[in-house]
Amino acid sequence: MLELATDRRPDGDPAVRLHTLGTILLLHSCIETWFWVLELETAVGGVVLLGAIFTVLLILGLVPRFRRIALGLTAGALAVQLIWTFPHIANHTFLRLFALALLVLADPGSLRERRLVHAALGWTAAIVLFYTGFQKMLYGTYFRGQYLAYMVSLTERFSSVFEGLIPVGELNRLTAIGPPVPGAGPYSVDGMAFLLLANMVYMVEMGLAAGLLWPRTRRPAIWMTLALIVFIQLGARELFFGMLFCNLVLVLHPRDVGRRLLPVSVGIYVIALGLKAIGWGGLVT
Amino acid sequence: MSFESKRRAVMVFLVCLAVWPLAHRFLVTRFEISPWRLGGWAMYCTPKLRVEVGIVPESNGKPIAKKLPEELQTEASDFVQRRAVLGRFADPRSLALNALDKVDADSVVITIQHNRLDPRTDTIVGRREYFRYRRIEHGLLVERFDVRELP
Repeated sequence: MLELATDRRPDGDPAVRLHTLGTILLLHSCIETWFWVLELETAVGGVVLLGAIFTVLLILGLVPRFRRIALGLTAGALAVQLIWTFPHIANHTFLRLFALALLVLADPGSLRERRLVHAALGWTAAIVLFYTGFQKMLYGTYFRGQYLAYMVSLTERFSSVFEGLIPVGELNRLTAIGPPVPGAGPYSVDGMAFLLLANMVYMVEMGLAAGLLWPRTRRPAIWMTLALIVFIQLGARELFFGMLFCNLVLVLHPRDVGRRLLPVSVGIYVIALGLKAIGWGGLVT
Repeated sequence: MSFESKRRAVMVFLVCLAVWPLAHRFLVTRFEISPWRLGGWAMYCTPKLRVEVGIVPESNGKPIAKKLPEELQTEASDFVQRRAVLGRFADPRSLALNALDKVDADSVVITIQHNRLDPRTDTIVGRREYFRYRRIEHGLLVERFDVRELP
């Protein structure tokens, strides 16, 4: 059962994919922390120190013999950060910690340990993706498009993404609702295309989670998941969750696509930090 | 650590990862923790609405008009943020104690209001709870004396 999420061939070696994910996790930890430093109105010593530690560990992790130590220490520093900032922790930070801990677990010289960790990462991606959809069903706020209607009413970037799917009269009504105080609403839309899309969101998320696990559907499921994340990020603009989850999903691709896309990922992180440094970082979170 | 031990550890981790979101859903309903935090993977399921907290000092059981010290306002603002994530696990007791220390009052009423998007009515609804804290000889007496469903 566990092996379902790794390569079908018993000799399939995910070493390059795990290595790529490790690089992303080290870089991500460094960039996100410097983002945090730049967001603070006054420098907080602990955050700057954390940024410096993650930067040193990134450099250390580029040296093959220190790789595992760097990943372990990054996981340790991240655990300290979680304790320090509890309970204000974004969910993707947990995901990063889990992925780091799993990578540290694998003995680099053992194929079956690499396959074990690869399978665990695949299951982690599938479970998280499944629950992002399943929770939407449990909360019941997508059946009539209520949550998306709420976001359209409140934020311009969501209304610009969905304006083509909502009748003009409905769009005007939603944007005129005002602040979300008790009694505000109703957050529902009388538009078939919008309702279809809202209901497709959770169905696609749950369906893709199953697709990632099933070897025959894995490749299309990976590309569709990436497309879904990009689509969601048009509205949400959460760079760090998006980048992390895309790279976690790419680990499942049997052809080391993540490695080939590594320069793109690195470029996005570096450009995002550059934009943040010159004051344009509000475009993403 | 042997391969079998690592395999077992991975299995335990994955089972926890698969079960926790269901427990998380229960905690959101029962204890008003944030759907957006604490690893329940329920982001974008429901709006991230602000928790509202009020502090009303009382003298002889009647509200008294008093400007709250800045330090207390800062503490209340920190409490709001903790309560928004931890729900009922963030107890207002220490806030009440500090309010009694810093404001010359017999008792203090703390109101806590959680708002949410109700999927049945498609509107925002709220629930405001009223707690009264009064010093007694060996501690603090607390009573929840009112709950109002809003609007």
